[in-house]
Amino acid sequence: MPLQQTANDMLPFSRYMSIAAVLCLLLTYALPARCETVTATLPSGVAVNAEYIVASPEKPAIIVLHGFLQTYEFMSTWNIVNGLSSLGYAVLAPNISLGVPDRKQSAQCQAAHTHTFASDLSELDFWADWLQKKGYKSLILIGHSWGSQYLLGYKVSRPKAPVIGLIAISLVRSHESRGVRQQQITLAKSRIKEHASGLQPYKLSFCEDFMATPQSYLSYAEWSDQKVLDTLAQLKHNQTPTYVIIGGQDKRSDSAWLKEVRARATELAVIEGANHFFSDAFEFELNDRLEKILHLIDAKTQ
Amino acid sequence: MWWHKLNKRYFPISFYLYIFVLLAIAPAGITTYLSINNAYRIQRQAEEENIHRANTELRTEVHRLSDDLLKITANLAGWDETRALFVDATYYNYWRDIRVKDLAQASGILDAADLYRDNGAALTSDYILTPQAHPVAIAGPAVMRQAASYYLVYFQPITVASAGKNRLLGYVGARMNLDAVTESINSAENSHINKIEWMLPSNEPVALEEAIRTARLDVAAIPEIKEFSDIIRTGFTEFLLYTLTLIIFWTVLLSLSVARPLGRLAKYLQDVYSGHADTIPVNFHGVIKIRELEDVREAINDYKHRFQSATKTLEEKNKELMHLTYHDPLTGRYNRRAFTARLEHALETAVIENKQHALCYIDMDQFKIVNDTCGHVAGDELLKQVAMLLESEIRDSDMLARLGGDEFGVLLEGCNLDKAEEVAEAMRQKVKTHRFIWHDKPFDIGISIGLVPITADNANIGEIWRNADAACYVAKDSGRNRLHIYQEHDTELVQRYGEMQWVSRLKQALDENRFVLYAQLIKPLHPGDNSQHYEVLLRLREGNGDLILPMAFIPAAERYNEMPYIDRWVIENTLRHFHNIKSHHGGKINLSINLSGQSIGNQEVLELIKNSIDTYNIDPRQLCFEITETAAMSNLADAMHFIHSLRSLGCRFSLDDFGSGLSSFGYLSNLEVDYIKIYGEFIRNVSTDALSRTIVGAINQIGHVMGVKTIAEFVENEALVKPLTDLGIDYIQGIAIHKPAPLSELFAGLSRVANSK
Repeated sequence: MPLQQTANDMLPFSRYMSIAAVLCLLLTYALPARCETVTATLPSGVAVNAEYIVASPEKPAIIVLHGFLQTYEFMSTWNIVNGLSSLGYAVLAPNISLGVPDRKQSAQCQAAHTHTFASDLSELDFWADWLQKKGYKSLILIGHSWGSQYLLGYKVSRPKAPVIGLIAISLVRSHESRGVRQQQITLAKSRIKEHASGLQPYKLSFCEDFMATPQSYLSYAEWSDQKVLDTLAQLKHNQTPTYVIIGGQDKRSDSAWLKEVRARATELAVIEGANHFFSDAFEFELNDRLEKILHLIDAKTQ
Repeated sequence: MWWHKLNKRYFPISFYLYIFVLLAIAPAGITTYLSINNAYRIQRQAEEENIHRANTELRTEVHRLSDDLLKITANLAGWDETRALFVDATYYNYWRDIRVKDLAQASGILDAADLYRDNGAALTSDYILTPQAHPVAIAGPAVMRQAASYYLVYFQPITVASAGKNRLLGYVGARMNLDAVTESINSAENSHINKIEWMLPSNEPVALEEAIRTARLDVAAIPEIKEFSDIIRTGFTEFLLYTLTLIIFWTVLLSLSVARPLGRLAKYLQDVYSGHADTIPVNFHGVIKIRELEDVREAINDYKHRFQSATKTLEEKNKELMHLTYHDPLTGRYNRRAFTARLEHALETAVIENKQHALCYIDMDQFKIVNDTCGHVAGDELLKQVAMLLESEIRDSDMLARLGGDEFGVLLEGCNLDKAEEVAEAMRQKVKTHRFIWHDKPFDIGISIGLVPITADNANIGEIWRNADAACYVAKDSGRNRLHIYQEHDTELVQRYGEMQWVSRLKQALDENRFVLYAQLIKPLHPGDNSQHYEVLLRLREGNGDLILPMAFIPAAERYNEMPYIDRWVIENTLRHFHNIKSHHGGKINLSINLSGQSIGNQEVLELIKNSIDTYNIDPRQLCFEITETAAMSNLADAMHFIHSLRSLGCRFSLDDFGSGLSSFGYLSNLEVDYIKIYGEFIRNVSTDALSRTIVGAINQIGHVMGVKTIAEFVENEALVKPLTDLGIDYIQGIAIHKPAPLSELFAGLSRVANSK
């Protein structure tokens, strides 16, 4: 709550900061200095790309993870990247390939999905290594929507990774109901047992017919709401600074969820009026929060 | 210029008809050709435009689909999931059959798609399009036939960025059933294409432009253009056919109705010219009747009739003329011309072949009497009868000709003089024994014949004529109705020749004005008659100054028709002198002027007298003209007219030598004369011969009864005066009374007398 209070106290200041952020954003758009698209090839041979903002290695590098099937160019993600570009952090916004070489487009639900949550985290490993090779000693992971699941899963599965902080934005409930999910999981598992690895439509996240292999589906479907909360709890237990920002008008969130999250996250910031994507002017407020959180993380690490 | 040569030539009317046909057909044909050609051109242009539009439509439609296909393949190529298949093609079929099909359904045009590696090989063996893409050969869209369908295919390159560069990952091949094009075209309201037939090999993509270019299009015709073209073609074709029909009809009609009839007319005219023409039939015309041609036909027929008539008449006239040329129209016998020609031929045979011929020159006696007393008709009839009489006495081989007037000639060819004499005598006897009766009035007729032998000794025709004429003259002069045979050194003929020589002497004298007028007093016997009357006499002065009396040359002058000229000279000179003496003498004298018989009937002499009377202002009553009884009787009708004409002016007439010839008092009653000059032979013997005295007395009494005064001439001695006075003669004349003196001297004396008074 102190963060929320601070935020409320600094409202006038935040206004000034918002104006400054806008100016910075304009400058960023106008002069995207040291901002570049980098490509690389995974050990599997799949080309991958990412947006990379170069900054001093003195600060931790930030990896911004896009939502489910999205790219870093998705509006919400891109706003975050832009917001961070003026803060002096190195920012890397990779496009999770989802099995697509050099993917630059949002993947469609109906596309053949063979990628798995684990393969996605592998790519995150790749970029983490890539940043470390660039001289960045610590990493801060910021994820939007499903990107939050990525950073949760990554930190849990790679406890030794030099991740000093996690910021999960719009970390909300699953789309599908628990029953549907359970039914689909059962079906998928049975298919696996039957070695029927063909694509089948599943309800997953916003996809009504996510065409995926059972393995693919199951890798994502295991990230139930409870697993998210459990992971948050685990990270809290491990003292990994995990900050959660949720829009007050995010339809996939409710007070119960906020309560659960708040109970397990390092901090939960709810930006009143903002939706899942922090569209309109809420992106600035989101960036303000991110900046504060980043300062907090910096402060903790120092 | 060439057309000058053309102008000099004449062509048949059919030539101009052909020219007309060409000139008439040419514009119609050219117009039709141009119009139809233009119609075809317009239609062709429209069709070409239609084809162009069809091609454009096809190209547009195909390109539109191609663009769509390109967009779709570009979309597919851009799909991350597409590129993902190059990493893991496990779910290739899902991509192709589900993902692409969804897209195909969304686009509505995509038929199928396949992925190919960068080397063109199909990404999987489960391909639909083709095992091998053709990205290298076909950079753009292509058309490919598969089975019975045609597809628009395109192999869209799929690239990925790698190390800052784009790397070819592979191709997404997509095809589109071109039936969509057909459907689109068919569904279009104003499509220019009925059907598209792609000319493509199987399973082998062909570049789009090449495929379009080789596509066979069943282009939809533009009905309006086709209808327009059909109307133009049909219209002008009908126009041409109508024009051709009309031209041919009129040409045939003109040819049949004008050219051919004209040709017939021309041929008829040639036949007319050659004389073989028949009348042009009324059906000579062609199909139609042309008034002008009918007029020409009628004119030609009329002309032909006239021509034939004229030709016939001309031939007849020619024959007649030819007949007249050599025949005498009155008697039907040969004329002088034919006779002369025959005579020349006879002379030639005489000279060359030494043949003997004879010429009879025949002169009728008493012909003038018959002619004058009974008229020309009687004279003509007499001539005919004489001709027949003569002809009856000669052979067929002999030739009888009327030489002129009452003269005939008979040429006895191959006839010696003795035989000729027999024939001539027979002719003379034949005529002599013939009695010519005219209106119950009988006449004794006779002929005088001069017979001349024609031998090699004759010099020429002229000599023969002269000899014959002279012989005839001798025969006539010997008492008429005689035959005189020409002989060399004939004395009678010498005289005859002497007369002939007078002709030239008289002509020369007239030209040289060597005639001299004399005058002799005609003295009145009755007391109280103081009139002075002179007879004008004529003398010829020879070159040596000798004067020749008229009896020496008058016969020759009369015989050779020189008397009218001499009479004219006398009249003119007498009246001129008379005019002069009148102006000086002032007295009243009368002059008697002798006129020959030839002048009495001469109208010119009559006019000369009248004109001279006016010219010299002579009182006609002072002029008296003496004509001989013989002259008057020979030309009684002319003499009566002559006398009457001058007497009406006041002139007087005296009948000379009355009683010397055949004169009768019957004749005298017909002649309006004022004086009778009694024949001198009676006067000369009046004192010694009772008969003469009786005759003179009778004539004087009859004359007086008729109101005619009498003159006794030849009073050569004084002894004659008393008996003549006793007989009651009115005037006497003779050398016993007054010796003839030159008129000039007489007039000079009279002038002196007048002046002395």
